[in-house]
Amino acid sequence: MSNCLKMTQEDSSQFKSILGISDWTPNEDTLRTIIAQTLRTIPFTNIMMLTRDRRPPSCEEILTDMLSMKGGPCGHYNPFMASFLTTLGFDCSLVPAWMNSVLCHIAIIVKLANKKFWIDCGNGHPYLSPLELRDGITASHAGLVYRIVKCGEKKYQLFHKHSGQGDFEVNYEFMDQPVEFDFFDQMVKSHYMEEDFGPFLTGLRLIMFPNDELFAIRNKELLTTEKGALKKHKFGDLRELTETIESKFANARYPMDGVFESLGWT
Amino acid sequence: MRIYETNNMFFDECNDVSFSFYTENGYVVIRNLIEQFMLNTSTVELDVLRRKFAEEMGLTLNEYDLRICQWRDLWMHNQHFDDLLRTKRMIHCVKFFMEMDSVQLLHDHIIRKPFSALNETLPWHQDFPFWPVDTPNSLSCWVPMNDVSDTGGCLEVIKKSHKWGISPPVDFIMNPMDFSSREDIVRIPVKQGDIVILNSLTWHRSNANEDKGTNRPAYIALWVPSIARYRPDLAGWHPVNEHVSVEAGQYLNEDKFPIFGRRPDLTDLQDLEEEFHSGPDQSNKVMNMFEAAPKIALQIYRITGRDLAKPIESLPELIQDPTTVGLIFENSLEKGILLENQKDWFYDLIESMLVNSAAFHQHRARNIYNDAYAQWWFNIGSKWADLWQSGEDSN
Repeated sequence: MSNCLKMTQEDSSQFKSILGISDWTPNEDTLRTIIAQTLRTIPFTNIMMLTRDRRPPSCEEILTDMLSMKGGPCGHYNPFMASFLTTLGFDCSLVPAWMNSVLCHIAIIVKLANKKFWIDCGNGHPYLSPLELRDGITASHAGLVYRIVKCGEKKYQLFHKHSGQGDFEVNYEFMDQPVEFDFFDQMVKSHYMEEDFGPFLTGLRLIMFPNDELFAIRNKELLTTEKGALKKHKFGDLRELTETIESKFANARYPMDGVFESLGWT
Repeated sequence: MRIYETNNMFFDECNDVSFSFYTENGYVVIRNLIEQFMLNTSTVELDVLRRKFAEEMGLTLNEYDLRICQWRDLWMHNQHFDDLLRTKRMIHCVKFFMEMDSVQLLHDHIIRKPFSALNETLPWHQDFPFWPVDTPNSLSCWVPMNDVSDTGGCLEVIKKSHKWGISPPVDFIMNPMDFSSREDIVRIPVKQGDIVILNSLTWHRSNANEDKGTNRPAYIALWVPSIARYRPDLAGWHPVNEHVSVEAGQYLNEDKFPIFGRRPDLTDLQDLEEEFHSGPDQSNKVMNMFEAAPKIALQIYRITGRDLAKPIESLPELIQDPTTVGLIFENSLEKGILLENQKDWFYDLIESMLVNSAAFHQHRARNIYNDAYAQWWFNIGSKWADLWQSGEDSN
């Protein structure tokens, strides 16, 4: 993989020590372990989008946010993961994904032996398992069942179904065609600069999977799962919200005042 | 600022109403004809192609994008664009609006008009006079890969101009047509999935893209009836001639010009002598768009004092030679045609001509605005031509 987000071996070593896994051999088991451990450790969040000027982040900022455990959205998470996995010897590519035909997401394809795997750590509900790029492959994670359906030469659809709810619905479409990180420049700009381009400039998202269960803050609500079953709790005030974030995401040291100011929450 | 009329007639299908609009106005927009994922895939495939081509030419993507904006014959080399071309609904539209059961692709191409790179106005023209075939009952399909707003480099047409008849092919460098004061110009903004069907005689252009952050890639397929016969005398200079393996007067070969629908057996053939138009304006002996490269090569021969009796080398061969390039600059300096402080500009211009020539040779890609050739002519070639005409330089 070549893009501006090239990690040095030093960066890679730092992230390895954050994850604390013992075996880094590039195979399917290791890939699964790395994804799970990353989702336990590094949040998917839009906090840094809210607190910086409305501009796309530099590659250095993305690296710093991820290595300081602040995390980030898909434009942080997946390019970072692809770079990290590449330093470990995985053959990774970024691929484009569309929601309602709008290019708005980045996923990753990993080649292992003669197989290709789709991985995506950077969605609002990231996926714990890599899925082999075959029609109808299904997995579940923290109350979400997800499935890949092949529907063209290089075209795939990712379907979601929440436990106990109705039918599978398309979450996004993606293409098995490697692209460089700068292919997404305009998309990233839109995410950072256009309020109506997704939910990230008008709300708060903070999601992690400690113990492989969901722990998420969605605006002023806490969402958790227990054995896949969803629980919701409305925060009484911003102080409770702040305390929850400070206790559960202590390493990240988020500038919460800036978040509230950006969202106009008082 | 001029306020243009904006097209507000969109049709959901090929039917009597859309046909009537097309025959009256010379264009029609059919909504949601191409699947959006097909077009999203097109933007990815184009991105991959541009990077590959830039790398093969030893350029960064930015350098490449500043010089190249058109790619031809995509269906021949790329499975995705072959699939796009063969989209059943598009073929149906082509047959419907041409009123033919059998149609043939003349060629396809993509023109990209990024806000921040090559982004100019493509001058007014009709398509048919550029084609070496004998049937003006032809059309093109203009397929935007993304939404194109009325300020985003959309197509502009002169309503009903397909009824004006056939003009000679427009020379974009030497004699661009100016219709800007007309009041029947219509801008055609489109959504991803829409397709513009354009009569081959409709006068059209596309303006500069003023929409920040957009690239305006459009896939364009040009179609003729399969009964069209090869007429190299009409446009022998056009790059499409390189794919023709039949003689003048015969039907186009199917391997490079794919046919959709069975070609009818004809007994009543058209007059192959019909003139249609008078061909490119070649009144200027020193320069024209259609033979720009050989004309510039000839000028370089004269500027550098080469023996004109010997066979002329091609333009890229000439300007690959640093001695020749140095001599052009020195001699132009001596005649006061160039100034010392134009040296960087001059070498950049030579580089642009080389890149254009190499891009066409390697990838059938080019700068559709002929920027480098136009700059050469207006800043160097024409001044030498004046000098030669005045007899001050006898080379």
